[in-house]
Amino acid sequence: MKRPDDNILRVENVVKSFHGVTAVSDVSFDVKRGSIKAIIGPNGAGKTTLLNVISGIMRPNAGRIYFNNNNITALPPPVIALKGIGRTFQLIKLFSVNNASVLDNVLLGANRKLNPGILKSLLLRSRMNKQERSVQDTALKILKFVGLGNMAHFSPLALSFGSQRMVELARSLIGEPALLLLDEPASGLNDVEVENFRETLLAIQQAWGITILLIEHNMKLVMTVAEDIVVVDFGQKIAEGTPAEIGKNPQVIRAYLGEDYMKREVVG
Amino acid sequence: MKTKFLLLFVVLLLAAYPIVMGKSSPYSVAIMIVLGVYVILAVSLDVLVGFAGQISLGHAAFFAIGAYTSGIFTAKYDLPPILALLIGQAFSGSLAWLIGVSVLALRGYYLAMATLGLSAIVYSLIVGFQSVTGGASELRDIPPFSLFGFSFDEYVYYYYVVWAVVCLVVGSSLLLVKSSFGRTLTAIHGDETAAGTLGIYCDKIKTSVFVFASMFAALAGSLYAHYTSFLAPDDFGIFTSIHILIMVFLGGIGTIYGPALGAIFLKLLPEFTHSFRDYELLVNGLILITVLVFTQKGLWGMFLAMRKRFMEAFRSSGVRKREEEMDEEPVI
Amino acid sequence: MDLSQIIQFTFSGLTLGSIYALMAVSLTIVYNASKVISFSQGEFFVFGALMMVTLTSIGVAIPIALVLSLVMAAALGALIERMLIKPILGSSVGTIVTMTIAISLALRGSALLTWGRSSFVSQPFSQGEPLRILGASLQLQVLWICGATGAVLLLIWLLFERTKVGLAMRACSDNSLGASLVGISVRRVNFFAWIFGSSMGALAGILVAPLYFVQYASGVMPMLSGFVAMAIGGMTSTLGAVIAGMVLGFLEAYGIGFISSQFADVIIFTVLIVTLLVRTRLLAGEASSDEGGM
Repeated sequence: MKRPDDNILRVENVVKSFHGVTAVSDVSFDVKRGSIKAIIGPNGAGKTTLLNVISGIMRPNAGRIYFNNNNITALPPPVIALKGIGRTFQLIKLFSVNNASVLDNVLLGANRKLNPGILKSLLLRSRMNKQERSVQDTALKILKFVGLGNMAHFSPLALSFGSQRMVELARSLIGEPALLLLDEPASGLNDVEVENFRETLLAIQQAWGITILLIEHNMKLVMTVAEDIVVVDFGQKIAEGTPAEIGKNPQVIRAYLGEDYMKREVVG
Repeated sequence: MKTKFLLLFVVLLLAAYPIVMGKSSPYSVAIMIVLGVYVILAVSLDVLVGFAGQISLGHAAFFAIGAYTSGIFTAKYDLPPILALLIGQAFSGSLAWLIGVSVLALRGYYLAMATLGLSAIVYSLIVGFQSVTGGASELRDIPPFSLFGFSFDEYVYYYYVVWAVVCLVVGSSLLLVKSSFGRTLTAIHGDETAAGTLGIYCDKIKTSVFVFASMFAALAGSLYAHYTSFLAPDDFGIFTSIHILIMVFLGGIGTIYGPALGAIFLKLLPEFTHSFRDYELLVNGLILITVLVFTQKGLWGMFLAMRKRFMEAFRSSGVRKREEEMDEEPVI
Repeated sequence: MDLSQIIQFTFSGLTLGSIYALMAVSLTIVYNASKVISFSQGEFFVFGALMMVTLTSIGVAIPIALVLSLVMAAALGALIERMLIKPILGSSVGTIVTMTIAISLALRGSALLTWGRSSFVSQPFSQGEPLRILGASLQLQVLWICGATGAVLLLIWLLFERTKVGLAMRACSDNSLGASLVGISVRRVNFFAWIFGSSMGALAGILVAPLYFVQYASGVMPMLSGFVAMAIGGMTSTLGAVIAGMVLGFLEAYGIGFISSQFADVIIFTVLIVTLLVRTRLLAGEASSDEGGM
C-alpha cells in the first residue's frame, strides 16, 4: 500500500570532495516512493558523483543516505544493490568479453536471485539449473518488453547506442529494484529513441511501481516525465520542486536553462 | 551435443593410449604424464586469467607448494602420499586465500608484477631453505604415488591416476565457467564497477577463483613430484609461471580447451626438436608473437575456424549438387 | 666489520644503484608514454652487454663499440615498437603483457643462439689498476658507471624540461587524450619512448659488462629490480625511479653482506608487492578507473 509521504530515499547533507575539488556540497533531498524524480544541472555540477555516493561507489566525506529508513551510507556497492537499488551508467557499461551476449548481460542483473558460488555451482547443479531456467524466462520477457526480444543472443557490441541503453535498463530491471538510478539515460539518443524511452520509463513506473531517480540533460524528457526536480549547480542544490516551479525559477534559468528556454518551452 | 561426442572420443583415446603404447614405448607414456600435469596447470590458469580476467604470473608458486609439500612429507617424513597431497591442498588453499584477499586488489600491470614477485619469492624460499627442501640441489627419493597400499610405480598405472585428475580438473572448470558463476566472472572481467552495482561481490569471487586455480596448480605439483621422484627449484620459478601463461595464450585464452591444447603443444614441441634444443626459446617467442598479432584466439580459435569451414563446405556441397541438377532440366 | 668493508659495499652499491636506476628509468619512460610496462626490458640489458663484448673482441675501439651498441639497441627498440607494440596497444592488458613477454623470449632465444650459454666479460673502458681507497679497492669501471649514469640522467632531465620532444612526452603521460587534441602525436611519443627505454637498458648492460659476467639469461634480475625501483619511485616519476634505484642498489650491496642473497630477494619482492598495494590503496575510494582486464 503506497503511503503518500513515504520517502524511499533520503539524502542528507552529503558532501564529497576529491583531488581538492568539492564535487558535492551539502546536498539534501528526498525521493517519494513510486515517483520519478530528476536531477538536472550544468555539466560538472556533481550529479554523477551524487549517484555514485548513493550507489556506494564513493564514500561521502560527510552526510548520510537512507534507503527504506535504513542507513546505507558508505556501504559497499554489492550490498546496496542487493538491498534493491539498481543503476545505469552515463558511459554504457555492458559486458562484451568472453562472448557475452545481450541475454548474458541481462541475466547478470539477476544476481539477487541467483547468487552463485563455486561450491554451489559445482555440487548443487540441478537446483542451480532450475533457477537458471526460470531466470532466463524472465530475462527474455524483459528483453521483449524493451523491444529487444530478438537480439538476445547477439553481442552487445552489435547493437545501436539506443538499444545498448535499453539492455542496460533491462539488466537493472531484472533484479526487481525498488529504486532505479539512471545516469543520463537519454544522452546520445535521437528524438524517436527518446520518446520510446520515455514511454518505457512510464510503463516501468506503472507496471512495477519502481521509484526512479534520473540525471538528465534532455529537458523535454525531464519536463514530461519527472514529477519532481532537484537542480544542482557547482555541487550545491539551488532549487527543488515540480517542473512548473523549476521552469519559472530565475536562479535555475540563469544557471542552466537559459533565458530562451522560457520563451521556447512553456510548461504548465 | 557434438562437443560431447568429441570429448568422449578423446577420453576413450586417452584411456586406450597406454594399453597400445605402454609395452613398446614406456617413454611415450611418461611424456603423457608430464603433459597431463601441464594441462592441469594451463586449464586452471585459464579460469583465472581468461575468465576472471586476473593476470597471474604466479601460478608456478602454487605448483611448487604442492610439489614440495608432497615431496618433503613423503621423502623425509614417510607420510602416505595421499595425506601429503591433502596437506598440500590445505596449505595451498589457505595461502591462496591469504594472498588473494590482499593482492587481488591490484589490477592489470600491477597484478602481473605482484604475482611475478610472488613466483620469485617462492623460488627464493625454496633455494634458501636448503635444509628442508634440498635447495638448489635436489629433493630426492620421493616415493611413487600409492593409494590403499597399491603403489603406482609403473608409468602405465600412474598415467591413469594423472589423467583421471586431468579429467576432474577440466570437467569442473568447464562446469564452472558455463554456470551462472562463470557468468559473474565475465562481469568481473568486463567491468568490476558495473558488476558491483549488480550485487556481485567482486573481491570475494576473485579470491575464490584464485583459491580454486591455485589448489589445482598444487594438485598438479603433487602429481608431478611422485612422477619425477626428485624436485629441482628451477622447474618452479618465474620462467615456469611465464611458460604456463604462454600455454594459455597460445592455445586460446578463455576457452579451457585452448590452454589444454597449448600445454600439449608447448610440452610436445621439444620432443620433436631435440637437436634444435637451443632454438626452443626463440621459436616459442615467435609462435606466441604470431598468435598475438594475428589471431588472439590461439590454436583453439584456428581449430574452430577450420572446423567451421569444413562444415560449411560439407553443407554447401549438397546444395551445389541440387543446383547442378536443376541446370540440367530442360528450360521451356 | 671494518671501514674498508663498508667502503667496499658502498662501491658495489654505487654500481648496482646506477644499473637499477637506469633500468628503472627505462621502464618508467616507456610506461609514462604508453602506459605499458614492458616485461622485455631486461633483454636490452643483455643485448647491450653482449654486443659490447663481441664488438670489442673483434677489435672495435671501445667508444665506437659503445655508440654502435646503443644505436643498434635503439633500432631494435624502434622496430619492436612499430611492428609489435603499436598494433596491439588497444588490446587488454593481459595481451600486452604477454606480448612483451613473448618479445623477451624471442630476444633471449636469439641471444642464446648468437652467444650460446657461456658467460662473458668485456674489456674495461680504461686500463689500469683499481684505486685503493682506505683499504677498499675501487675498479675504474665504477667511476665510468657513475659518470655515465649521471650524464645520462642529466641529459634526460634536460630533455624533459628543455626540449619540445620532452615536453610532448610529459604531456602524453599526463593526459594522452588532451595531448593528442593539441596536436601531439601520441604515436611519435611512444616511438621515442621505446627508443630511449631500450637504449637505456642497453647502456646499463654496456656499463656493467666489464665488471660482471653476463650471459643470455642475465637480463631478468636487473629487470625485476627495475620493477621494484619503479614501483617504489612512483611508477611515473623519473626522479623517483632514480632515487629508488640507487637506494635499492645500496640496500642490496649492504644486505648481501649480512643476509644470503636468497632472503635478500624475498625481502625485495615483498617490498615490491607491498609498495604496489600501498599505491593502489592510496588511490582507492575514488571513482575507479578500470585499469584491469579491459
